[in-house]
Amino acid sequence: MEVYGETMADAWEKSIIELLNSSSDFVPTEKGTMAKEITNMIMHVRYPLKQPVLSKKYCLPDQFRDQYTKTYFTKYATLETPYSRIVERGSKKVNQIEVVIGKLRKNWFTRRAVISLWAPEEDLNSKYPPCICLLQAMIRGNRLLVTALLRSNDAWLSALPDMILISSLQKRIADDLNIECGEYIHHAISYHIYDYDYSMAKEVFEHE
Amino acid sequence: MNTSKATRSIFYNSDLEIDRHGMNQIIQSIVCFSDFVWMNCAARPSDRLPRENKERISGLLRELEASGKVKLWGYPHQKRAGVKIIEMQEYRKIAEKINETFLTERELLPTISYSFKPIGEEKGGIETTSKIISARKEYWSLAVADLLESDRVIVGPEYKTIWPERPQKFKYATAEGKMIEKVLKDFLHIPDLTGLTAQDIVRLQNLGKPLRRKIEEICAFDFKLDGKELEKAGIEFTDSIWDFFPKTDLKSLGKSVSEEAFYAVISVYIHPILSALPFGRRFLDWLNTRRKMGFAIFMSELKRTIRKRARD
Repeated sequence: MEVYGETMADAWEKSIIELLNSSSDFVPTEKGTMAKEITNMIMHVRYPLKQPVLSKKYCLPDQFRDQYTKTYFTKYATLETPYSRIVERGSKKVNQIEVVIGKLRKNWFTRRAVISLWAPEEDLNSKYPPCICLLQAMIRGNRLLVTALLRSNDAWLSALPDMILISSLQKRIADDLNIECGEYIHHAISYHIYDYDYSMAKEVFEHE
Repeated sequence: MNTSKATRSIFYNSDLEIDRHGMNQIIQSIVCFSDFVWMNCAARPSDRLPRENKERISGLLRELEASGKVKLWGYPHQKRAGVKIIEMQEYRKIAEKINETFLTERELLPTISYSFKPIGEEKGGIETTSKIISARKEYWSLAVADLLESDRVIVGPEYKTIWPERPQKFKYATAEGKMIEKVLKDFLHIPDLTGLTAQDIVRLQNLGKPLRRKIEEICAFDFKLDGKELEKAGIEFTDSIWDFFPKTDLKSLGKSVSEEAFYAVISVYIHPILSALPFGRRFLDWLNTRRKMGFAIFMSELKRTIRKRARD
C-alpha cells in the first residue's frame, strides 16, 4: 500500500484513511491486544518540512506531543544524548551520521549511505526492540531523499512523531551537505492501530 | 458485616489469542476466584492450537458464555449482539484521562518500562515507543476493568519474568505474584483444566464456594482466620477437583503433568505509575486493605496455617 502526500500531515492522514478503510483483519499482537494491520504501508512525503507538519487530527493533546518530543524525540533528533545505536555504533563507536555525510559528500550518487539501528545481538531477544530499523539517505536531483524502514509502527500514536523526528535528521544531513531536503519515504512493515485507539480513529476520520 | 460483594468478576487482561495457558487462566479464575470473567469479544482460540483442541476450546468458551461464566465486552467499534459495549462518551473520557496522565506525571515517559530502568540506563536506550505503547495498553485494561466493576485482573505471563529486575524502591504488590504462583502449585495442585466440560466447570465452581467464602472472610476481617475451617475448605476443594477426572486419567494427570499445567497467576497488580490514574485508585485502595498483596495473602496464610497444624 502506498500513499502520497504533500506534507507530513497530509501523508499521515491519508495513511490512516487507508488503514481504516482496508479490509484487513485485526491481528493478535505481543502486547496482549489486537490491532488492525496493513502490511508494508509506504508513505511518500513530497515536502517533509512544509507546514502543516502536525495534523489537526492527531489526537494526543499538544502538551503531550510537546512533552513526548521533548523527552524523547528531540534528544534523539538533535543527538544531545549519545544514542549508541546511531552515533556510537558497535565496539568502534561509529558515528553513522558523520560517516553517511562523508559518503554522500564523496560520492554524490552513493547508495550506501545507510544508518542501521537494528542490533541483532541485542534486539532479537529484547523486550523493547527499536521500531525504526534502518534509514537510507540518497541525493537525487540535488535533493536529499531519506527512506526509513520500520519493522512495526503504531499508526495512531507514533507514526507521525516518528516521521517528524526522522525528517529533522534529514534536514540536519541536508544542511550539512548544503542541499535541500527532497522526498521523505516512511515504510512501515506492520502499520497498525491498536483496538483501544480504533474507535477514536474511526470517530475522528468518520467523514473521510 | 457484609464480607463480600454480590458478585466477583475478574478482568482477563492476557493474550486475546487464547492458548492452553490462557484457557487455564480463564477456567481457574472461574473455578477458584470469581463468579465470572470479563473478556474482550475479539478473544479467540489460538491458530497455533491443534485443530481438535481449537474447536474444543472454542466450544467451551461458547458454553461458558451461555452459562454466564464468561461475559464479553467491547470497544465502541466492536458493536455486536450479546456484548457489553463501552459507550462512546465513556470511551472518550478514558482516552482523555490516559492522555492527561502523560502530562501530569512528568516522570512517566523516562520510566516507562517493566524493568523500571530509566531510559538512559537501558542498554542501547534509543527506543521508547514500544514502552509507551505497552503502558497505554495497561492503562486501558485497568480503565475498562474499573468501568466493568471488575475487582480483579488477570495479568499476562510477561509479568512473571520481571521481578528479578525490579529495583528495591519499586517493590510493590507485584512482588507477591511469584508467591501466588508457588502457593497455587504447592498447595492447590490444580491440574490442567482445559479438558473439563462447561458443566463440570460450573459444578466445580459451586464446590469451591466454601473456600471462596472463607477467603472473602479473611480479606474482610483483616486476615483473622479460623485456620481449621479454612484448611478443611481448602482440602475439600482441591480433592474435589480430582474427582472430575476419570480414574484412568489420574496417572497421566499426576505430579509431572500438574507441574507443567501452567497455573494461573491471578491477582490485582498495580504498576506504580498506574496508581496515578483515577481508575487506578480504586484498585490501589482495594489492595491497601489487603496489605497490598491481593490474593497472595490468603493463600500464603492458608499454607502457613496448614504447616503449623502439621507441626502441632
